[in-house]
Amino acid sequence: MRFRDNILLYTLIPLFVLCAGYSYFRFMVVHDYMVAYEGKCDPSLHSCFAACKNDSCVDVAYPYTKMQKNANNLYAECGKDITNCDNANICLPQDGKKCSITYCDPTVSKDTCDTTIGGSSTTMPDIAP
Amino acid sequence: MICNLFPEPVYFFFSSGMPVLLFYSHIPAMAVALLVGGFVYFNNRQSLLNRLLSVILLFFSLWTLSNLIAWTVLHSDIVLFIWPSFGILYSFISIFSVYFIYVFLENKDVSFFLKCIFLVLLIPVLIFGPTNLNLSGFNITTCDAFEFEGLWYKAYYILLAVVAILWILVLLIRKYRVATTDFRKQIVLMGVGIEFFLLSFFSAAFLAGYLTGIGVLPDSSLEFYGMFGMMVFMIFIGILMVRFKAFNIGLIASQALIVALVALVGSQFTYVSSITGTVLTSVTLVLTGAVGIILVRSVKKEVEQREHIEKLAGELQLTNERQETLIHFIGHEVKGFLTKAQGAFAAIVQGDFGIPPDGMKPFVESALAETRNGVDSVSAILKAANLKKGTVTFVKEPFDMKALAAGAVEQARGGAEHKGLAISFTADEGSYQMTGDKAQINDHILRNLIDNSINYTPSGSISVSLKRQGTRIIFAVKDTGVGITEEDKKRLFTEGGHGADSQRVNVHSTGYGLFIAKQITEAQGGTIRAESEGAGKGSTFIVEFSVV
Repeated sequence: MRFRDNILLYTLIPLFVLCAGYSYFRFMVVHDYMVAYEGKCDPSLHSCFAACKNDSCVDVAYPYTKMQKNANNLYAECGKDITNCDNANICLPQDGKKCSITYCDPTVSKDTCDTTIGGSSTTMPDIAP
Repeated sequence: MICNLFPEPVYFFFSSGMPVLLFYSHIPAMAVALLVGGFVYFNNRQSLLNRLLSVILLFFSLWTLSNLIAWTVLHSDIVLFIWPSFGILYSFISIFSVYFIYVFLENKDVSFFLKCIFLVLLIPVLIFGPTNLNLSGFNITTCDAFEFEGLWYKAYYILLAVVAILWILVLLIRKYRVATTDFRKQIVLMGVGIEFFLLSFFSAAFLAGYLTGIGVLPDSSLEFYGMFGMMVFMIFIGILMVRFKAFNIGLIASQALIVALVALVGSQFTYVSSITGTVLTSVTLVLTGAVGIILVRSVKKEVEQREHIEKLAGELQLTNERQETLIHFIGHEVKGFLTKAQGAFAAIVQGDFGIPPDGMKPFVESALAETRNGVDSVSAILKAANLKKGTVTFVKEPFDMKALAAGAVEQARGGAEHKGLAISFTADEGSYQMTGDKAQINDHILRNLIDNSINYTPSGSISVSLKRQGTRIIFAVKDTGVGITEEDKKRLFTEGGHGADSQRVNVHSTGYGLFIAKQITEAQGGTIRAESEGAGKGSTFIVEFSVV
């Protein structure tokens, strides 16, 4: 088989294998990606997003923040499940810049907010002492 | 990380929390694509077209499997590992569809230059697929990565899909304009099939991804509807296989169709929850399977019969060609011997070797007449073979049909009167000027029909007439002879087509005279027909020429 006749085969297959290999290494081995999830939020302290039970949002199911953390740090802090992990709800020093907490701000977002402190919001991460 | 709000799937991708359409759209489409792809590949591995179709179907199946895993698996690592394959497989399906259509239309591989273009278009999606440019994160609340998809990377492979759809459309239209009627039908089938597949597959997927990404839709289940485009494409591929023998496959389409039906019915088990529904689906599945087996057997039998008939037709054509060669060889050889004998007998009768004895002369005259009949018979057979083969050339010259017909009657008058038959010629007033091959019309039409009437009229008369009706010249020979039965009429103008009793009346009948007359009449733009009220009631042969 001549190379010119099978240039697609000879080029694309190695590239595809390399691509799959790198994808495996990045996501499965070093977990180099951000994870977004809903963090715990206290409406008496922060302006929280409100998870509504229905469209009118009269009843709030639970308040939350929008969290983003690096997956590798999250694995180290909580394991693979963040359900009962307090560290998942705050940014720790070792998280560095790869962590953010977004609070509800009705002036910039269409989301329904749940707050008892008057609706302040921040996108700055809370760094634990 | 685990999507903690969703239930863990069973057997890797079965999950009760998923939309029912997920399994109903993915599993049958994947099964049919893999099945048809496998059949096409293993039936003719050497064909580039087959290999390309199999590759496209394999890419589609991989995309479907990846999509199914992305929908059901809860582990962000696994979902993200396979997520880059979506863009890569979209791009591969787009470019390989263009490649496939090129090979389908041109029946040859594309140039090295074009392959390099394909490569240049595909390399970026592979290089940047697993990088942040394509994917940077995962949302474990919604269990997807739409909000972390890179805009430029996504725009690039969407653009590739649009370019591929338009590229294929242009290729199809350009080829359609110069293609044969038969190939045009194939182009339409292939074009509609692949364009419908690409349009439905890409538009549903891109729209679902976009609307989910911006939060308009809660999930990307809209993409499920695009999967049915593959089923439509497979139906068109099936028609191409059966109707036009595309991909050199005989029974595959019917078998694939049955398997697709069984897969479709079987996949209903994925969402049927009641006992009644399960029973009904089971019964339908069994019935579909049973009817399918009968259908496949029936189609198989039909295909085998058709292949057998085609094989016989091929052999018949070969035999005909050999027979023609043999007729020409024997005809020319025999004609040569007879011509030499005819010359020798003529020389004896004419006294070239001195006056023959009285007892010898009638014998030689009879031998000369028989030899002339032999030459005429062989000439007729050769003429018929040449007409059939299309190797007879015609001269186009103006002549007076009335004078030609009158001359033909006069030439035949001796023979008719010798047999005790009255022969007459009448022509209406008017011009009988026409253009054609005068010699062939005289020898093979006029003389042939008049001689035929003389040969098949034991007693009575022969009336030859010529009429002018508008732009038509009508030549007719009417006799009081043996007539023609309805059965004989069917084979009257066919090659070697004798009447049932013709050789009893005329022992020298070759059966080629009227066949030749018909071929030459039609070659001159005329028509010929015979009329008779039945056996013993005479017959009329009518030839019409248009003089416009």
